Amino acid sequence: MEHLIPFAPYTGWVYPNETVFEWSVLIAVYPYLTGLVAGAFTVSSLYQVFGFQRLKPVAHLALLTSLCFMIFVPTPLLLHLGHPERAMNATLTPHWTSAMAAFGYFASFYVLLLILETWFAYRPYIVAQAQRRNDLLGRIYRVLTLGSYDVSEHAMGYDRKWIFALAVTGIPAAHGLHGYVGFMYGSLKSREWWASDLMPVIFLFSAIISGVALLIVLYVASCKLRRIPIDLACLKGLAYTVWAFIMVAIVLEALAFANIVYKGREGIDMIMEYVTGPLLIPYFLLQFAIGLFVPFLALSYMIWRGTTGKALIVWVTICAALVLFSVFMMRWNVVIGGQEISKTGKGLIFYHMPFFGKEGALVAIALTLAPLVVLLGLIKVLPPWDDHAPLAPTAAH
Amino acid sequence: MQACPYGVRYFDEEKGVSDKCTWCYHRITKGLEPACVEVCPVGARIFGDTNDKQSPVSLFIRNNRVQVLKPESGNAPNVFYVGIDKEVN
Repeated sequence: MEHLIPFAPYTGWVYPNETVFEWSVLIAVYPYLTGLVAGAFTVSSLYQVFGFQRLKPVAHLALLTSLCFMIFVPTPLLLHLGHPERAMNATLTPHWTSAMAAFGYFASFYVLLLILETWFAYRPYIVAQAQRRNDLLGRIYRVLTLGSYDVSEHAMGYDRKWIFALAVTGIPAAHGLHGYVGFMYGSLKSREWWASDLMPVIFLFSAIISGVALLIVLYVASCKLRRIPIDLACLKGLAYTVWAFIMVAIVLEALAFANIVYKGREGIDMIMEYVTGPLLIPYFLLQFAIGLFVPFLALSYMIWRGTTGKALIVWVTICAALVLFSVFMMRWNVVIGGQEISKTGKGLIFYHMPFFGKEGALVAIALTLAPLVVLLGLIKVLPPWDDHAPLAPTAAH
Repeated sequence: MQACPYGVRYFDEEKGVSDKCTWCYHRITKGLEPACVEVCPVGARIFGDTNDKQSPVSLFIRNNRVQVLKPESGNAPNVFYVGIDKEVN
């Protein structure tokens, strides 16, 4: 007999409604995207706020990447909702106890901040283009100037102050945005796999490594496409950043897992059965061994040996790709893994990802790649490259 | 939906909203029993007002050894079971 509602297979004892898998792969894509936003913004801030001069070649690319991914952050959620037209109801009729409403404001604030910072960062370029071009694009640039053509040293000094202030405000905003995702999972006492106070921090560190890794891949790819030499100091700076944060990410994840095992609360038997069974490959092998330990060891080796040149480029890019994969697996293992352990603590449910359909693999892949397509278009209008002067100079000293 | 420790909430595909068992609100407000209580062929279910100390459900809870699901969570649910299987509690 064919069921009206897709039915997840299960073992042991599960609650009746649990046989319908509620949060699909799209809900794993959502924190993946927000993580990339926060991570990319971190790179931009390392240059704008903390004065990491060697990251200059990717500073503007990081800002644009963050903006493009932020545009797509709500899409997996909207596709998942039964009534997407009601998405804003929580923010329109807010309540002090509603974390989701608070987050709605927070996310909107961050989008505005990102747009504003990008505008300030590109203002000299926009003004130059608006004055030079007479075509349709020129008209767009003239609109983008918002009527402000003043690029005098005084005005630039004013802009620098704004960029600095926005970049500083953006750090807690970007990380709060992503920390919220971890906060939501960590708050759900109903699931032992999620209910950890470490969740927001774990999400944050994995976000940072994923964002920096994405920047590495994008930077190397952009240099190859533009046939220009890769700035090895910049690449090494990014590699150091990933390396440092990977250490913290591994330790935090390990601590959270050890914590669950050590506490040994109700349902621990099922968790142990799950992690040594269905989760063995996605968690220990893919997420940790291949995704985190291999890059960590490879980066450690390169830093120890002082690897440079082509070997550095190839291996750092491979490490970055592995980190990107690992962080996706982390989102998957949290979102899907948490639901595969029954709330009874006495059964397991198995998620089957459809390929087609509103919440299938194809849509998930498309939503992950869509920001890159938009980025490809955006860099044509607002080139983030160093060689395309004049860009706003850094506020960092 | 994810927060409910008992998986009570489910997604109504037809209406596109999440829902839960309301003990047949449309029936109990008319003085009828929930449908599941009425149709149960062996009379396994008792429904009523636990505030009324003389109601059948209150008397049953008082006179039998009853348990709840996940007592360790401190949720104090108002669904009681008698003779609950050790594998299930």
